[in-house]
Amino acid sequence: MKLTYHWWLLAPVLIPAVGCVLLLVLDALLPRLGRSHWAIAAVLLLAGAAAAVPGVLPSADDPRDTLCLPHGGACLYSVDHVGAGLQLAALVSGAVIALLALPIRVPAERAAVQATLLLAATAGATGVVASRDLGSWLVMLELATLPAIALVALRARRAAVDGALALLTTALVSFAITAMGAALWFAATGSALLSGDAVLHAAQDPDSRRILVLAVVFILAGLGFKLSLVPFHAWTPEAFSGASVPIGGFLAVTSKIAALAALLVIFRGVTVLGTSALAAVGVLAAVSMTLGNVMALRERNALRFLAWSTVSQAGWVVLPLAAVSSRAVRSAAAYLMVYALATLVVFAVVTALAHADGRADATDLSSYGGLLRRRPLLAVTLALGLLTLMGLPPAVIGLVAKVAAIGPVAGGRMWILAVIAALNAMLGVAVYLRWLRILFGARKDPEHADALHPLHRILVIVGAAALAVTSIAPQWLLQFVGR
Amino acid sequence: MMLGDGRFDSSTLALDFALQPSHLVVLLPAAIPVLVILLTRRSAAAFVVSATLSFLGLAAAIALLAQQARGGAVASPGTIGQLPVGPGFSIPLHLQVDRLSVLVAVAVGLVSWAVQLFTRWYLYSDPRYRQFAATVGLFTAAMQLVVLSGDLLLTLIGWELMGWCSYLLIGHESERSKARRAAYKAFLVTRIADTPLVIGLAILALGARSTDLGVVVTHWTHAAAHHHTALAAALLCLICAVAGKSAQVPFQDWLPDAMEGPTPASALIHAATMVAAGTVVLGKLVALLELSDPARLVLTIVASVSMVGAGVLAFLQHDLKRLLAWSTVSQVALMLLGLAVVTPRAGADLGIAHLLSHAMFKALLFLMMGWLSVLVAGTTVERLSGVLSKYPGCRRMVGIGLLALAGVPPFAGFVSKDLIIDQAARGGIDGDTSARIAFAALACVVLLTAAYSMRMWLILIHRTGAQRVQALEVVEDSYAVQEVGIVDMLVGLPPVDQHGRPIDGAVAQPAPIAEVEEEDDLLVHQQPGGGARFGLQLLALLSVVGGLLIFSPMLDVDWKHPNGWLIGAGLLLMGAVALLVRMMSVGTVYGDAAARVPVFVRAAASRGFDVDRIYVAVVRPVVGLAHVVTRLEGRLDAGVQRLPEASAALARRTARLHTHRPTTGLLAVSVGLVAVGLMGVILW
Repeated sequence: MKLTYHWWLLAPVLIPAVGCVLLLVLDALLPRLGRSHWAIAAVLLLAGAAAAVPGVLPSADDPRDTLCLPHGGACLYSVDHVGAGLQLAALVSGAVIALLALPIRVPAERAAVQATLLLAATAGATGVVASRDLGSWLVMLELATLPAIALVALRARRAAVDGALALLTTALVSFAITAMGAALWFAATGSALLSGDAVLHAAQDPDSRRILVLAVVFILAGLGFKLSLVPFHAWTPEAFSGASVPIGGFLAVTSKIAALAALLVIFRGVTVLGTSALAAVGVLAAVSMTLGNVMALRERNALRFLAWSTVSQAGWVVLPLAAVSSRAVRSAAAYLMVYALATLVVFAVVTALAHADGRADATDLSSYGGLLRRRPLLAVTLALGLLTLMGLPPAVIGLVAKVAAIGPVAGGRMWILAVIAALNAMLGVAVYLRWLRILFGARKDPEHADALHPLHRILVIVGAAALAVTSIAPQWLLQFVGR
Repeated sequence: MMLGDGRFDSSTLALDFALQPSHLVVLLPAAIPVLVILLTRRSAAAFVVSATLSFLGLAAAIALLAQQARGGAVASPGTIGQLPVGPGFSIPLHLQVDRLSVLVAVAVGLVSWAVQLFTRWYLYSDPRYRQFAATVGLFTAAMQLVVLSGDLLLTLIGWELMGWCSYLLIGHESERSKARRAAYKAFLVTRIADTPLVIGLAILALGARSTDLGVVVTHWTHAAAHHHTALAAALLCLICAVAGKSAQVPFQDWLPDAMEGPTPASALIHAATMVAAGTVVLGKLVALLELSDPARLVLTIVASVSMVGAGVLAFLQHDLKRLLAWSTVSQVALMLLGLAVVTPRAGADLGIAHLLSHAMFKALLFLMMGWLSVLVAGTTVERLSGVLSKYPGCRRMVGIGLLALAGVPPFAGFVSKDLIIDQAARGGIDGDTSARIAFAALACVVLLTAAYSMRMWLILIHRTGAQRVQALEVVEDSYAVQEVGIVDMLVGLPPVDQHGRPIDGAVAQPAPIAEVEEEDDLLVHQQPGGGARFGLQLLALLSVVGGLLIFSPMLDVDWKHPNGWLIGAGLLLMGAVALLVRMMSVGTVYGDAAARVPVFVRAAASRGFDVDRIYVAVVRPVVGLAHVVTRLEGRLDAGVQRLPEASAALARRTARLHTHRPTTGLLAVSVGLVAVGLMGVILW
């Protein structure tokens, strides 16, 4: 069998993957390099992002395929416009996480491993976007997941190991479920390709159709773990509060991008079935939003708060997918982009604060008291990020995302779901307002406070600027995921 | 200079320039509030600005009149360009300049200018003079917009703006609860009546697919045969709004209460602007009114009832300012009848002619009433009785105003009223029901007008007896005592200790004797400035000779066939009524002919026959509904209040499920898998 290759198309996946190997070799040659591995990883990831940029340009072909089977057969690697946007987001967010982690003091031998794991997981995230057959889809998905477990565990504290354990057990069970779903898919369609033709073929026969439905549902349940949808979310607070802060950001952003990308690959195949609604997705979205918001309301730990916020935002991300349409795909991706940007900014602030004031003071919500007067830059940026997650002006981009997410649901006349979403938007305001109020409240000084690390300061300023600019012109961000 | 050759045609006065006099007529008064509020801090500066701009506004109106007379006026000057609302509908937002609108614009400008001049004197010591002058300017601009509008949307904008401004003007003395109440009442009543206006204008505009006045009239003229009901409905909505703005039955009661506002505001609202706006708007659509018999009939009945009822009420008022208010209701009804009885294919000239003459003499009367009320500090019969014998200088102008109001030849009021009566008589002979009703009402109202004008005159010139002179002296004495003032006394006296002895041997200084004001000074304070007096004299002159306007080509009325018998009979009856009123007034304390009427009738009339109560009764179900809504909202509020508690409880319960062990997570995953699987299979 002979495949055709387009290296420049594969570059967003290949650069981080090859980078892993290079980094390990480099570490073997120069063991004392220490934390500069993070910088190398960031450069590699940004290079990958640069390679993904041609795909998001308006002039790009849609989709762009490679690894095609001979004789006009199916292509195993395909990047459409939304996919390119997701790849870009995953790579940029990975680079930001690497830069955030750079100033943090860790044993020198651990930095290289962590940077390698980050590269591997990001490579998995970019790969799963484009994979069009069951095999590479599963492998890429696990490549995005398993390094994350190790990243959590490598903080080497009791809490981190607990979190990693929770993540590992859930990940393994979920992998089993996903593999089962993949097997059912193969049984139903008789093909390892995730293409619409195979699905259509399978849907004609009632028996294989039933199996196909079961396959989709199993895959959804398996991915629910990675998206932290309720009830597959139990690992989220443990892992977030256990991991080091930038790794928490990785779980919240890059990992979520990979999960949604994986779901969208399956979803694209399903849209051809012509069903109008996926009740299971709607129910999962509604339950996740509600539970995430309600639990976040009583949370006192900032990292666990962000974990619950992730759970509820995951509900928002999959909400549009309840209505099966290509518009829903774009809406979900758009919401994910906005969520990723805002969450990344919030994590950048928390990381910067944890680095300057000590982790204990950055994880307790009450220690954010009077941050506006203590560290105005961090407070304003954090407020912008929280307002975006809330969906309230002046962070217009958040509002735009919420409207985009509800749009397909209202278009599909799923009024109950739309009402639940609207109620959760209100509840979400209360959730994030709790943190905002603390920022503007009574001042509480930590025991010892250092200056911000310059790199952190730059990243926070860039994040604030990105939120401000996208709030003025939301299309600059949203154009990456569709027209 | 700016206007090169070819831009100005001296024979027709046409001006080839983007900014036309018609724009200036609206924009100059509109600039008053902007400049007064932004630039001036003192009343004097505000007066200079408002007087200058309103004079320029008047000048622009006169220039427009000259243009129109010479044929050089631009018929439909644009404003801000067409609104982009798609191809199916057009909102051109242009003005419309024609004979009648130009005449009305001049009258509005003139009255507004006179009012601005007079206000400076009337509100000399008012700290909020600036705001008042600014509101008068905005109000004038709104009225000019209605007058010159060629687009239903612009009409609506001006109409609403006038409603808001009238609220501000009537409630100017907002520290008094009566003034606030009157302002609220005027606003609410006109607002409620305005609702149908929006509906009516919407029907007209949607039918014609344009808000262009000309297009609307053309469209509905052709469509009248097929869509008779829609046209009638739209016009009835319009008539309802007009009844509200012009204080016709059943909305009449706000106008007399609006007398709580300062007199210049009353003059402005009553003479040429707000109450006349209804006539102007209906006048623009008179071609449609002719096509719809039901609308004409309703208008006739409303106007007739208002006219006669207001005439009776005017005669019985104890407060002479309210007498003028009711007379306005009656006279505006007369204008509306002038529109209702027109012959097919005639314009609104009859109604507009009466609007013009009424604007002149009513502005004159109101401003004179303001002058007199300042002299005697009140507007009731007791206060005003005999005021003209004491201040004979005002006599001539009040007399002219009242003669014009009564409609005595050759005053302006006679001419315009006689034309309407002639027209109604002709229509009645031709068998038109509306015209017959109108004629009967007009016959009554001619006599009523004569009666209340005569009554007012007799009260004002009443000669006092010895008893009255004594009473006046007592009043003046008490005035003198009040002048000293307890504070002055305390300040002037030397300091004393607790026993009343002077401290430190301070020599008691005699209090400085207050200088007696010169008689001339007093006179200066007692009469308005020269400008204001000139304005009043101009209004008086126009009230006398304004009737000549009908001979000009600007008004298209049939003045060549007056009905001599009708005029003669009318004048005879008016004389008889005047004599009767004179006889009734003999022997009364204040020369008030209405004193012969039983007290309870007069008291009821002062309250406008308690129409207020009917308003309240009508409103009661609405208030009840509002209570129901409030209660429902309270329930909802309580539910929302309970929401945080409920979510906290839910959070506590779910938190208990989240043990920090991986096994619970696995259990949740398994439960989730089963649940999602079932949902997938069942609900797919």
